[in-house]
Amino acid sequence: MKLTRRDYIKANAVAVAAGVAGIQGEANASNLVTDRDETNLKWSKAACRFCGTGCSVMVGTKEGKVVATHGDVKAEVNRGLNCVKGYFLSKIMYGKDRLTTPLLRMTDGKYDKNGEFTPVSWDIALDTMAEKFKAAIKKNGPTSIGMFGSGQWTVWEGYAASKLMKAGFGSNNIDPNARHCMASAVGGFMRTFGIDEPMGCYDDIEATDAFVLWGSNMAEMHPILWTRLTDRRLSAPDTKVAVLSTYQHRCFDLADIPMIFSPQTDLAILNFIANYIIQNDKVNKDFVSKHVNFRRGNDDIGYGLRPEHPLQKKAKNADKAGGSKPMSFDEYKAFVSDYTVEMASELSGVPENRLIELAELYADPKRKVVSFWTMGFNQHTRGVWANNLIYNIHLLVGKISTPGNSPFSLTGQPSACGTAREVGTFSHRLPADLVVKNPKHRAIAEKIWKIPSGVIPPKPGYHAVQHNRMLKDGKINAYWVQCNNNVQAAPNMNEETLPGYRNPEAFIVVSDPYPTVTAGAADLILPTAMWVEKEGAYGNAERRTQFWQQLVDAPDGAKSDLWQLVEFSKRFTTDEVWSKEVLDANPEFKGKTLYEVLYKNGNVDKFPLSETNKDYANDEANHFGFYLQKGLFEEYATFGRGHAHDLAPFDVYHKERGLRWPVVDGKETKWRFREGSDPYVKKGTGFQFYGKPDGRANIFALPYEPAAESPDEEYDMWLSTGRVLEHWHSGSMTQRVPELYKAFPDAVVFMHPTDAKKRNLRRGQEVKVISRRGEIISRVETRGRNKPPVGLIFVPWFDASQLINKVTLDATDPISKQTDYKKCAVKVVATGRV
Amino acid sequence: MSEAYYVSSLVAQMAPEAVEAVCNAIKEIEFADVPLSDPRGKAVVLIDAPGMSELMKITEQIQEIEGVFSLLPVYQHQELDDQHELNQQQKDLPSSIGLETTL
Amino acid sequence: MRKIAGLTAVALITLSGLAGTVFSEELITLRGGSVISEETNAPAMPKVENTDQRRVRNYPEQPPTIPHHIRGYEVSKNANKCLSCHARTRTGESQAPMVSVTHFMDRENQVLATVSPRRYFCTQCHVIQLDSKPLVENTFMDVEDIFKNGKAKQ
Repeated sequence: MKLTRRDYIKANAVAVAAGVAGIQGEANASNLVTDRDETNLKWSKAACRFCGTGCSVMVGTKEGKVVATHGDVKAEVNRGLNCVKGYFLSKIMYGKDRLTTPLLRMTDGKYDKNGEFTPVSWDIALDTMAEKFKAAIKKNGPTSIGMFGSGQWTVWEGYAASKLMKAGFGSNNIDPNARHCMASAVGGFMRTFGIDEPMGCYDDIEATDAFVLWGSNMAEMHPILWTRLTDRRLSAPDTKVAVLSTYQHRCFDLADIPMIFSPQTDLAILNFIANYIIQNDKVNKDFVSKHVNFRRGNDDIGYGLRPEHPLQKKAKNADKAGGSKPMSFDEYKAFVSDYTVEMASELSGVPENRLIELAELYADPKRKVVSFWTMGFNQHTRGVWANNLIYNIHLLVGKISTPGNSPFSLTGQPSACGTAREVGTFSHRLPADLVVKNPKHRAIAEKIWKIPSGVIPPKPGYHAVQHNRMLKDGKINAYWVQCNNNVQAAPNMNEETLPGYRNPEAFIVVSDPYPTVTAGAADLILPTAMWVEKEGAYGNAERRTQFWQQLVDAPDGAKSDLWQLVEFSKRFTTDEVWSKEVLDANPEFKGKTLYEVLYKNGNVDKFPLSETNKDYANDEANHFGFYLQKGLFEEYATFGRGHAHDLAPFDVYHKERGLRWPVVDGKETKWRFREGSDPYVKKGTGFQFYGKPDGRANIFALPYEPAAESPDEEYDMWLSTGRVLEHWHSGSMTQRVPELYKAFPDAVVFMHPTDAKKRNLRRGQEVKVISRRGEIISRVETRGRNKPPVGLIFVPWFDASQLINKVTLDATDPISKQTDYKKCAVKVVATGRV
Repeated sequence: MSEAYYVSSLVAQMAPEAVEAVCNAIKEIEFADVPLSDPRGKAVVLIDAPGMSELMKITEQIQEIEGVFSLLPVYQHQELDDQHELNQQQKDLPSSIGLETTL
Repeated sequence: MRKIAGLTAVALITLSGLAGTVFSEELITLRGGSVISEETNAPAMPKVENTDQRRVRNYPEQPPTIPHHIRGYEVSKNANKCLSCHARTRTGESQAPMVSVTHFMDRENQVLATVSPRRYFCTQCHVIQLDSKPLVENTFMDVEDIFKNGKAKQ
């Protein structure tokens, strides 16, 4: 009998439902064996180059080339899966325009800011660069140099860079692109818990009953975590998924409680939930009385703009944004009582019943709940507040640090946690949560680094956005960018970034494998080895540290960031960079090179070449004559061992699919702050938030305050920027993979059909997106994957030809200094062309 | 032009002792069937209805059957006639899954 | 719009094969030759390649790209339109490729009777292709070509 199409549809419907229900799905226990001829390929593990999920991939190599990649079946994070980017990792190193020789702007054989890029040798490149850095330090001191790094740096590259800047040049002007990405999360953790990074781990996904996504498009940005969430939702039907965003995106496909809110009003919704919990007597009083303090944070804190900006002048607490005072529970209760469901609904536009459903997920003592957030919270002029406010909720009900109860900040960069945060490549930080402001912390660092007291400056350096302002103002005169594309990524390109980079008083060095927009704005470009062309380590969002070996050689002429940093250090002596007082007090350091002081210091050069793995090349170790990566890692690890940041011995990580710190007695820690799970929690306490001296976490009273810029009559729409699934890291790698390029080649303006109609625009029509700061030319998309509400457009920022950061505003969170890329006012007009 | 129909599969959960009675009750409903059931308290429900409103009505009816704890829609396919499809495409509004677009 | 000095040249000369020769060049970014501070026209919105022709994979583990348009395909907690052709039971009629057996495995590598919920959202791995011409050539080598080259050398 021939089945009709209708029968097929029905049979299919039954099969899918049976699978979801687990009926007849009780598993034939056979492992799949692929027919791949493994004998001819060498397979090695590596961490994915893209997002903070930290998938492990298997990399197949043949005759010095990567020929295949796939998800690592042994890795707990992804269990054999990758997203489309991960599956195409094999091709990211093979864009035809890989840079293979340093390029210096020259005229008539001499450096010239307005000259044309001219190939030079590595010696000329590094010598010219050294000359510029020395001249800047001599003229204006160590605050006149700067370095912009990355959460894509490997752990030891970030460590070597931080050390070179802080312990070598005596400058705290080093900041990573993670400032654009994670700084508010860090601020939230430090303020609430006194110690950075999530308490839980990805195992929470399989253990929970509810997911709440706060400004996190996981379906596109953390696809593999999304597969785990989907798995949980569809195989445990009582699980609920709530999705909050300022526009509809792919996560809404799975949402039980979908919510579109007006930009910035998440603050009011968060306070409403706290109020709902208190009003309905759902506070976990035992937990709160033992483990929580209440504090009133300063309000009216400004918008992180230049001090002369009217909004800054108007703000009452712009100069003490992070301040707070103790308060009682009753005072807190009174504070949040203004945030009624009516008020939150009115402000946010979310219907009251949805808000109550959402609040119930947290309030219901029988339900476990995981909150996920990413850039919606972090790229927010009140980003630290948003982080604090979500912790408030979890702390009020005691839903924290137990399996399935987890406030979980996700990361964008593959090593935002492992490198930027844990190593502390921020302008105010040192490794393992130490800070430059604290004299005891500086002393610890100076002791481990074996450098004289007083080398590390006590004053925090310039943060990321400030870098570009200071380049423009002529305060930074020599600047090195590694491992990221900050001209494309930084906000307000026309008013700050480009004038900064092209300021004749600044010498800009950019290290990159490819000719990025940032490289194009530089004065010297250093061709750089990438990913598995070097031994590496990344740390993901669940505190998991993962290693890989050098699997292939870099193209001739390209050198890793690590090689560049350490080679550069040879060109400086202490006399050229340290103060006379420090040298007079420590004469044994006189005349030494920074290479000797920082890297040939008995720690970093402690491990001989014989300890490297003979099955793999190691260009850096062979060049310098010792196992450089191991030495850097082991010296770095001494900061955290015994201080709740314990890392395992170096060699262990080459065998494991990563381990979650603190690793104590060979055991990783899945949930921190809970007795029995975290070895740092004292017996009998139950929970201990040991980042704070009294072991208590803070609940903060913080109000709703408006955005820095909102739509008005002329600039009548909100602009939110962000990423798409297929592209990461500004598209510098993914745009060079044909399949990823062709999947999403050009940026578009996602817009509601009603807004298009109102402006007489059709899908596909060419438009200008204009703000008070700049404009781009793009095309209208009314039916793509993102569906904004009326009044808001979404534009991705991966497209080098449509630089949306010409349009964005450089308003930052005053506490974290992270930019709000999600909110500014624009207008959209037809160009008049078709 | 072809006839329109809506096929949907759902997973129903019920007490183990109620499986037989619930399944029989569902089979009584026009356009509904139970192609698979599990004595531990689960069943796959298949609905092949001529229209969306019938589909919704049947879903409600099933939910009201005594012993049904939950009814989770898993799969839905709409076979529309050509004119209907055209109308759908022209609509193409983001509110298609019932979201508030209140800005 | 202001023009930023020094970013205006357009010549493209590749460096490969000319090592040691000193010459001047301007950097060609993904913007082609266009100046960072200036706006160029937006390329026309490309069309979806809708040939239904299977494309050769770069390596066996690569998820195949989608050779047809997927506009209006619902993949939500209620429905998965892709499976209406690619599910095992549907491929007889549709003649579409069946979802691979890896898609039936759960996190513990157990093979389930139907597609695992972790594989439910197809577009996380499978993407359409638009008819845009890549900006930069990719020199990734198919392992078969490496084998062939190796044999040729011998």
